[in-house]
Amino acid sequence: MFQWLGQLFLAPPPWENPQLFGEQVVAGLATGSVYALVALAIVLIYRSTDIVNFAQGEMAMFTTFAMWSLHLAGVNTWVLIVLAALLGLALGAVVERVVIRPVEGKPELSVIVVTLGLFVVLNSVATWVWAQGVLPKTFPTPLSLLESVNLGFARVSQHHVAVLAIGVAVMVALAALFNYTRLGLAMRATAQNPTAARLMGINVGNMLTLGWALSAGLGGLAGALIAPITFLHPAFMLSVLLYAFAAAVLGGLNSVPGAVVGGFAIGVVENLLGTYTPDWLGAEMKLPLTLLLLVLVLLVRPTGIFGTQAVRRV
Amino acid sequence: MLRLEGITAAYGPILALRDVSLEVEEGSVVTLLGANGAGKTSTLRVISGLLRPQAGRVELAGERIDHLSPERIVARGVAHVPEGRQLFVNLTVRENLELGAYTRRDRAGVRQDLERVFHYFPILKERERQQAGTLSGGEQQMLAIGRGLMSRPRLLLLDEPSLGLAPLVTREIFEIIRAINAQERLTVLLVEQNARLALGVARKGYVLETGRVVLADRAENLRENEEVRRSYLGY
Repeated sequence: MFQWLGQLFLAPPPWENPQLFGEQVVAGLATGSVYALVALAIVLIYRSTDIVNFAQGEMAMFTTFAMWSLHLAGVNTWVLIVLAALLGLALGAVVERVVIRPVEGKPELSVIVVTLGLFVVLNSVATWVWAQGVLPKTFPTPLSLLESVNLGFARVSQHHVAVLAIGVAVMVALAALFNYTRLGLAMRATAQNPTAARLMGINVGNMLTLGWALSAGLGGLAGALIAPITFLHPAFMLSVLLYAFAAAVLGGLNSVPGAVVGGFAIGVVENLLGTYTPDWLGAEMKLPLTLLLLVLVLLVRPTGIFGTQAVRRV
Repeated sequence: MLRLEGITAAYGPILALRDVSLEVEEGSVVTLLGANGAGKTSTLRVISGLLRPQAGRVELAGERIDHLSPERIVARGVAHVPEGRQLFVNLTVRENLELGAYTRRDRAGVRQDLERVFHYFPILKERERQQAGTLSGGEQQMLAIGRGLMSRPRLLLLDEPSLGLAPLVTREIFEIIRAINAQERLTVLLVEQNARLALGVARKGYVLETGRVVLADRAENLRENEEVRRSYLGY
């Protein structure tokens, strides 16, 4: 009876092939965890400085290309993933100290323009250094994209399972950092009221540097995790950043749990749209369709799912 | 405990303080009186390091602190409870208090001080898990003062604790300030619009006008002073 409905899909609909549906959901959660990491990176900076760092994706692209060079030099692939995060941390700290600090306290637009400038510089340098020869480059994974793990209801590639596991572990660690440590409390306080934070004895400058470092570290990790799937070229983080931005906005730009939920939601929706979007629309429509869904959600909840206006009595 | 000598400070081109000198003796409550814009808040901001003076010196217990950053000055024992309270409204009451003790490493002492704050402000204990932004104005002021006390300061700077509060609540808060000063010999520098209340609790007062100290005397003398009566007490 659903035959006419089934005709609408590119692939066999879920009720005919539940296995495929399950696989797509898990694969969506895996890429979703990468979007969630990048969304967290965006939210971390937005919460503390009220700006969106447009160079977020390019910074991750830069560290990922650096890892690719190390891979050619023979560095172990697991080590690469750790190094990607560490190099991101360092890059973020340097960028905050050198590029962002001078425009601190200036109008937000100035800071945004600075991040756009950084976008252009990083993109040009990466193109100059790495984008010679055949593009895109393949990026290694410590596991396999072809060998699969049987989850019972679905078979998913080893790499996707690893990405999901690493992503979730990092998010749990971050949550612990923010909620159960003195440092995390100081970071939250600084994001909320820098002047009051200084009066508490918190070194606000260090907290901002740390925020940028963490943010770029998440980006670096995300880049190394997604590159084996998307392949590596100077613009490879662009679509990741778009989905991550959608995830952050969907969750509410100032909400950390929102970024996580938004990331997973966008990842699953993207994957399902890519699989099931009917022929006449084409799988290429998944990005605009995902963004259309985002717009619909924002019409109902303008602050995103978890975003709030601060509760305040004046 | 605290000495300001010839402090001159400005916000960009706008001069806020000119040659301000004052002294706060250990264990006393001293108040700064003056109209809006006279420089009361700026004086506190200079002391806590938020505003760097162009000239003059600030001494805390004989040591210069005017070149230090706010975070260093807190660690030296100066707690600034700012105008408008400046709470972390999205954090809980408990978290706000913990942040007050950020510079401290002595866990046992911090726990003890938490109990002390709850002793002075029992309502904060009841509200411990609530977001600071959901408290009433009076409770927020109590939290701001409690957060200041959590650093176990030698000197407490209070900026307009009565701002926007009902008279009854204001009186309650002033009673507590008096009690803290009496029981712990905590030195307090108080900025207050309500001169009557301030001169009731203070030992000494300074009157600021357009960034200058124009009058300095014992509180009981200021209460009798013709000029102060007319300008700030309203009778």
